[in-house]
Amino acid sequence: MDEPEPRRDLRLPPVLYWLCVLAFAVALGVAAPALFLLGFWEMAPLVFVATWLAPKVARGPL
Amino acid sequence: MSWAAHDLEPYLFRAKFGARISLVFCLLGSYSPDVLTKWAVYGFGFTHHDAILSDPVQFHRGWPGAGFTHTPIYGAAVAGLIYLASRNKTWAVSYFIGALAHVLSDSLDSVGVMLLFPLSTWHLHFGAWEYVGEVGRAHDAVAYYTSLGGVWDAFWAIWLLYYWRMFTVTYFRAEIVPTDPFWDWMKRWTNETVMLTVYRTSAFFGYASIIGWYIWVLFVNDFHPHLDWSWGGPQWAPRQGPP
Repeated sequence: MDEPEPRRDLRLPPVLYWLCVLAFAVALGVAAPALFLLGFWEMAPLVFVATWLAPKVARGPL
Repeated sequence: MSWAAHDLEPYLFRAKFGARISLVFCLLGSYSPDVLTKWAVYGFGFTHHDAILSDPVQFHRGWPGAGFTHTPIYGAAVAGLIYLASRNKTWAVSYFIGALAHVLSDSLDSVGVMLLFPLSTWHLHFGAWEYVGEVGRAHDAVAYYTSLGGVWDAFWAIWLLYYWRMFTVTYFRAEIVPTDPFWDWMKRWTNETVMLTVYRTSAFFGYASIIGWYIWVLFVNDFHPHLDWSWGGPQWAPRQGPP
């Protein structure tokens, strides 16, 4: 019997994952600077979600 | 005034001086001069300036006013209180360095800071870019990011890229948490995701805001969307010296 083919790891390299998060944050900021670009606290929810998602979406820790 | 430089400078200090700097307290020091004052300088709203103060510049950087928050003596006084309350020299020194970095960064604009307060109300001001806070958030963003102010932010952001590994989970666990009792205290109340969020957010915001503001200022906004890297620029801005 043939061995089942190992499943490909589709998760992103961690650096690429965080660059995508940064690009998303920049897009939010350009679309609504008053909501996202006036203080660090405006980015905290996004950083929290991205940090929580990282082990699931990215291949290794960054 | 500076924008993202205040978010990024403490990370550089942590990278250069290692465990002698508590990142959290350095960030607190870096934010402290503006935390109770800048909203009042801008007034309400983003695109329209609804003034709160009759003389925002006097309030923000002058005396009488809250300009004492932009002086070395203020940073030293609060650092002293931190030391008395915590007996932690690293926290106190880190706070002072963050506050001093804010003061010196703000001396680069046209209003400057009262470096020798309370002995003197003389303002150290290099005038590399124009202080435009009194005309509201949107125009200040345009003025800052089209002038040498934006270059100042970019300088810190590019330098910090060299230390990008300090933002990794591995570095956080091995170098940050064991060397600062703040993280032990935080660990008792929350989990690592929240701790990493606290650790990274200011830097993430610094990069996102520099890139975002440059794009918005130059390609979305239609109010003077041109770089002006002349000393004291942008030249369209109303001239504003020390109060």
